[in-house]
Amino acid sequence: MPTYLRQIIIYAVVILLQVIINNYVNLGPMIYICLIPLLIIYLPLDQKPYLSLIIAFGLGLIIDILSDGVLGLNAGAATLIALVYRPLFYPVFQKNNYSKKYIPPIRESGIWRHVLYMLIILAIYFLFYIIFDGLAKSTLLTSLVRYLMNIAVNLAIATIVDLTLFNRS
Amino acid sequence: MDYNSRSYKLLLTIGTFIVLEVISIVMIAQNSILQRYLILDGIRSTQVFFWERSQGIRDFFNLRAYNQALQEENAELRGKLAQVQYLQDFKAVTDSTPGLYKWIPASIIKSNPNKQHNYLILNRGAKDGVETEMGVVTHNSIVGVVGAVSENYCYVISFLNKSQRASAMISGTSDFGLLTWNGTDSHSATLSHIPLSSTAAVGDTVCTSGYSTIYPPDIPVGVISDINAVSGMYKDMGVDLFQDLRSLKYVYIVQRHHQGEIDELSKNASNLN
Repeated sequence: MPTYLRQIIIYAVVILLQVIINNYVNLGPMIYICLIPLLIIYLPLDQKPYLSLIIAFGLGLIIDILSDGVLGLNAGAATLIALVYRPLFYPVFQKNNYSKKYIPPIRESGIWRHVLYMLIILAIYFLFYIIFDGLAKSTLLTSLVRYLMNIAVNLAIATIVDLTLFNRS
Repeated sequence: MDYNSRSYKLLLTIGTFIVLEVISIVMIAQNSILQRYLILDGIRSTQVFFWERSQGIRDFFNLRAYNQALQEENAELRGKLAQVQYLQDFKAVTDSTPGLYKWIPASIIKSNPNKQHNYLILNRGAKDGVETEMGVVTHNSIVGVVGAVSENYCYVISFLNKSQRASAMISGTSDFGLLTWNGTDSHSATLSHIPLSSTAAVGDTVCTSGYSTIYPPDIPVGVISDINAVSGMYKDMGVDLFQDLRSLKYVYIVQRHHQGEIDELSKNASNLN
């Protein structure tokens, strides 16, 4: 199967998974499970940056609409990480001998680099998400707890999905 | 201009980023319930079609729990009916004045109780007499306020929404304050602005005050779980809610009779000042 077709199918599956999680999985009002960052780090690295931004914005908006979210919340956060996922790639993965088209598979780079990369991406994503979701409505402590909880839960889930869908040998 | 130059590409990227972020933030800022309802009206109509069917399947598997809840509510209503009958017998009430509130039974066809901005969609709309600003309650909880109405459905801003407030009082006292969701747990709320002189204690029941025209008075909503003094002027109280709003299926939409007359009177009175 061509790589781009496989990529499209995986993206569709992850979006479907995200909508199902948002509508049917109940982890309380503090936790928001979000798979969008995973989709964005797997966007081609050699793609024109403005295209990545537009794709990320579109993916976020689709999730906002399909899962009854606050319109613009996922779109804004996704656009922000689409801006930084490329500059963050080289410091985290360090080597330049990986294929420059996509983030290297776990078997090449090791799981901890993936986890570190995802951790930074999620930290940026939820910074935007929680600031704008709870703007002037939650205390700093509540927002901080929510921020840390979301990063921890989403890192675990993203790693599982990463291993299951994106790194199948 | 050299369209392949590094600075042009950087400018294009930053420009795209700023435009998209501004669009996102404007969307978030303008995300009032009514605007959102209007924008997504078409999408909602389609979604409602599918929700009703998927909800039907889920309802089938939850029938036992719904039956139990209905039985309990039925038993309580029978008790209240017997009390009313008893009073009527003794007082020979002949008052033909209609009740203060209009009650419209409704069932929830879509609920979203798991976020910071929660809402419900009920199967009653304009053709059933539902209007915006009506309250939505059960026998032991306040559920929310009707935010928008279509022909067959209405959109309710859940009480589990940090923008929502309800006037509530402590049973057996005249102390009242504002009840708000605390945003962290669907079972807990905060009753604020209670005077320091209040003698309320942990375990006391909190009910609606009826001072707003949205919710009827004396609906018990929860019990006080903890008490804190705030800035030496007021007490804030944690409230454990009686009803888990995530498990609701049936609710009542309520409207105070003569609401228009009350609004008109308030308006005229404010003009006098």
